[in-house]
Amino acid sequence: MPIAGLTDRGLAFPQIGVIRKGAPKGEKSPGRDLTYFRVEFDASRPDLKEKFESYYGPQPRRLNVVFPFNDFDRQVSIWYEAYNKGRMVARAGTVAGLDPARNYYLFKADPRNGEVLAKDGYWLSSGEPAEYDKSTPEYTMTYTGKDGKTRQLPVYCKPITRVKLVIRELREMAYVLLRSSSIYDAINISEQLLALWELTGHRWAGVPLIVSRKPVQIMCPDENGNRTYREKWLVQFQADPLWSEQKLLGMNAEALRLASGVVDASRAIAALPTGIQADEDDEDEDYIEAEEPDGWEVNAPEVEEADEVIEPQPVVVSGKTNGARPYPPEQLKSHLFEAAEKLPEASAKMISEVAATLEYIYMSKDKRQMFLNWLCGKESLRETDKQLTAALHRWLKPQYSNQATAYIPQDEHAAAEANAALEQYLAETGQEKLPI
Amino acid sequence: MVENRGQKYLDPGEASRVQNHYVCAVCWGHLMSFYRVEEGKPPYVEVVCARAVDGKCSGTTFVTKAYAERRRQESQAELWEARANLREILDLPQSGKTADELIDELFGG
Repeated sequence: MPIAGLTDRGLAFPQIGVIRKGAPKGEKSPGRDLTYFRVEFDASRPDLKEKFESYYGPQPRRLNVVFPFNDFDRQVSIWYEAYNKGRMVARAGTVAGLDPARNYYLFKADPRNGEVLAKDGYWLSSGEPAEYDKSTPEYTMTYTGKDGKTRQLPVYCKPITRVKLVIRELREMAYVLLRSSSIYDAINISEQLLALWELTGHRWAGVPLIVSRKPVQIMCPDENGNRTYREKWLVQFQADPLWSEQKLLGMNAEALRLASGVVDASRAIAALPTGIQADEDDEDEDYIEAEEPDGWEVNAPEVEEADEVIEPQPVVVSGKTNGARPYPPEQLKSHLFEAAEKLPEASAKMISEVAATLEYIYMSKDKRQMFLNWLCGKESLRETDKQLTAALHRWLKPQYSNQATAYIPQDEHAAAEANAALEQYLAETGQEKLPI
Repeated sequence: MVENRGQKYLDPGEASRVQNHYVCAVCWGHLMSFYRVEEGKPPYVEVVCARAVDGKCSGTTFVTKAYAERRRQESQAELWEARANLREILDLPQSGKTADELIDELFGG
């Protein structure tokens, strides 16, 4: 079901859709959990849905995305929130200047009349810190069940996770909002993204990412009090495997180069705590399970999909390898020129494929130009000898990947060799290594 | 007759406060209120998105006017940042404008 009116907010960088985890809610029943993403676009842009489904189909389990912002807080938000009659009545989280191990009300209103009681961590009446206690209900609502009986239902805050994502294939300067109210998603997503934020040196905008749904076995008591496992499909973020491979290769090369053992500690991956504890009900916005018992535990997934396991490969920064791959830069250059002499000129299609593949390896047009400069003193493939380009084509073996929507090298050593060559060029020209 | 498109309030004063200080959470447009009387139920006021009345918006919840205004201002900065970060990834066309033209545009010159 599309969302009418979403793009009418007058925003320069608009939201064009929502990514949900559950089926639509029924009249008086929660929607069931799904194993795929349910993506809704604005009703005024039917072309978006058509374009999206032409790439992913109607039930995608993984999406190619990028983050538009480098600032963590602008990109991701995780708050405890409660709503009443469509209005937010409470939002809580950590507050700068107050105890970072505790949560405080950033906003709290009287659900009866909307009067603001607390703001930015402090009670307005007394000026004292407004500490949030997750065991205290925000208000009590009267609820009529399916059986017609009226009950008093305490309403607590739920952890709401929001992540702004740009879907690569849509090629729109607009974002979709991934939203989840699962406590397990809040924990998983915050840990994964904090690690990614550190890995990217706090510059993750534009880094190709994959967001997917993965099954996780969650232990919870059944109606008899016995512990049993239940499968939940949580949201997983990971860097595109090829980007991760390049990053690892870069780190290996740097470690070899820095023989002194001095390592930049800021690059270490840290899974930081979020302050949210995994001892709450898992109540997803779209599939509220009101009867869920307390005391759940999470078992992290033990086995990743085979195509997502990243095997670090050895990198040779300099020196001969007796013909073994990957070639060191000078040997690579020598082989390419030798091959060029025996090959016919590259066609226009081959030139385009080489350009696209190099750009995919380096994730940067500048670095592609630097590589060509290292190879033959040119910065453009148009200027490069066409026989040499044919040799590059044979070396890279470009192949279009529908999944990555890009040309990727089929030669297993090409990416490592290309990176080593760029390293050498940067060293030769006295430039510092560019941040990825 | 508009039904089940907004939030119901038994207190007309509360409904009025919501209408004055909030906007639709989806389109951020103005809200309208309807006085309702149904048999066997106390009268109430229903607050709805004005654009939802004729089916142009699916919003049923609200955000404050102050929040919507602040987000509109932030969004311009977000566009500039996102455009700079994603131009290569999304293969976006260049504006075709000179540096002087862009600076004039930025600072209203």
